[in-house]
Amino acid sequence: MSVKRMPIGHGGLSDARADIELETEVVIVGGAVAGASMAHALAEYNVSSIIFERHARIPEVNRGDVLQPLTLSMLDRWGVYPHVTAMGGFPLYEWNFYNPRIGHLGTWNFSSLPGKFNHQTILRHSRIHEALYAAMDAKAHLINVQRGSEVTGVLFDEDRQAVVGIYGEQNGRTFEARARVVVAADGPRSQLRRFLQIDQEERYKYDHEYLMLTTPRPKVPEMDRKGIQYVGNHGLVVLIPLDGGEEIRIPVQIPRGAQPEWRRLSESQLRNRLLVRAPVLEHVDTSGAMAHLSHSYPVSWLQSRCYVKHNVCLIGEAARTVHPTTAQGMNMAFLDAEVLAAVIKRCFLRDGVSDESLGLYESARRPVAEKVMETSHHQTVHHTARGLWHDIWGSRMYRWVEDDTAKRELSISVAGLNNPTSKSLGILEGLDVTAGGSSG
Amino acid sequence: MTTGNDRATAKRQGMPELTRPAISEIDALQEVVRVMLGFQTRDQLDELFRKPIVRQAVMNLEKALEMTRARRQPDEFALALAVEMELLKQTREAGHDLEALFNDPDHHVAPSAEIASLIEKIWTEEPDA
Repeated sequence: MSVKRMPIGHGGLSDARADIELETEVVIVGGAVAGASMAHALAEYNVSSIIFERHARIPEVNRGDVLQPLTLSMLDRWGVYPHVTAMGGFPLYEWNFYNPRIGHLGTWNFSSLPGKFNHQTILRHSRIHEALYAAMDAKAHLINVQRGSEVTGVLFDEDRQAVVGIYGEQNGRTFEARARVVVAADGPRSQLRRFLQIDQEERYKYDHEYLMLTTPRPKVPEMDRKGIQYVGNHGLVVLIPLDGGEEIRIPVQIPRGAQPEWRRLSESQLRNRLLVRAPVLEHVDTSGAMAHLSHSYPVSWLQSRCYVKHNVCLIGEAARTVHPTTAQGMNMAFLDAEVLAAVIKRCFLRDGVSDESLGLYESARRPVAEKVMETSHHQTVHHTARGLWHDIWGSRMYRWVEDDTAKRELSISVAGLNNPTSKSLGILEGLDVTAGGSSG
Repeated sequence: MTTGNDRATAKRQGMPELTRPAISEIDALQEVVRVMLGFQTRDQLDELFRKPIVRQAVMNLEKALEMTRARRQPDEFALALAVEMELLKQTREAGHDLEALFNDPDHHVAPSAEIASLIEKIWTEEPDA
């Protein structure tokens, strides 16, 4: 089959034969959590994939650390969970809300959730990557990882209707990979999405960003396998016990653009600001809070207008970004992968590969993602309200809304247990998933 | 030799002459309050202090500060406590004792719609023109 090369981003256009030629069933562009989980989800159905990741090594980034119960059940299925545990995955059973001035306000508890996983697991983001890749060793016949690979263009079929592969550079050599489906897992600034001219709608512009800090964990009962969220006058501060429980990650809500001012603070000024917002930090040394991987990032709620175009499927943050308050972004990526893998297998076995048949992924995931984003936004607006009035009156609502049914529903929602998987959607019902597929 | 602080040096270097304060007394006071109370902008400060309940509350700020310090809390919390004390006083005068509602940590009953609207009304009351 002859193909047409089209550069994406700043990539060059070359008709020369690539130094490395690869062929697989699914090409995955981007090897972070979304891309790696996509490969695992495909491997469950014996579908081969190649991951192209531009970083030569797993980067140490400071992103999502919270694995929700539904995600844990998928990681268990894919054989990743033992690696999560081995790398220090830390079960967290409860979140408590506090106002710094008033004290305890309310609790979210996961311990009564149905199913095998009645807790979240906290593992620093880079170790989640490591766990996903460690679990690939046993699947080397299905998952090929090409690190240090910069994807610079796509291969279109002759009619320019379907993307049938990608090309790029790796260590000074050119490569080309052909596949039946391409998955864009290349993050919020997805080059593939932009190349395909899939617009994103900005649903809400938040007035704040998060400054990510790290300190030792206060050795107090309130933080023993529990997380704390402080709400009130200055906005949200979240204390997340990291793997092993010795350190905590602290996203601090600051006004948009305020990071330079925070960076100029002396150690004592920073400590004062932190103690006003999160008094439990009086038990720990905060002098190194900014030292390790601290950064800030603006938060936004963006939704792509479509998830599938020319046989390219967007997953994770390539498809959407959501406010991190309820830790849904990364977890939505896992479920995207789980559902899309089943849809791809169905296409291979029965429906053939086309935007129409792959569109089942979008019709399954979009309404669920919309609901999760709505819930997340609602919680965000609640938790990130600032000002004296919130301190005096609004934050007390957490204490007063102590209806057990409402709290349980919220815990189930945050845990992801309301979100249908490929199994509950019946995507592969009646099909022999152990069979190789060649339809289409 | 100049010290760098004299008028000629200031003028030569394009610096403002420090013959009088750069801002008014009221601006200076507002800036101190803004920084000490942790406000991001002067507008936020203005908006808060326009409220009658806040202006009434500051008359008890010293007492609130004592209580805040007795609880080993940061001084910054005193203003919220003063407003809360004023809120409780005004609702008491309207015939409702909300002390337990506000201060019992085990109190998990939401206020009635009547109480909620009374408190909202006190907070959102506009100052006399």
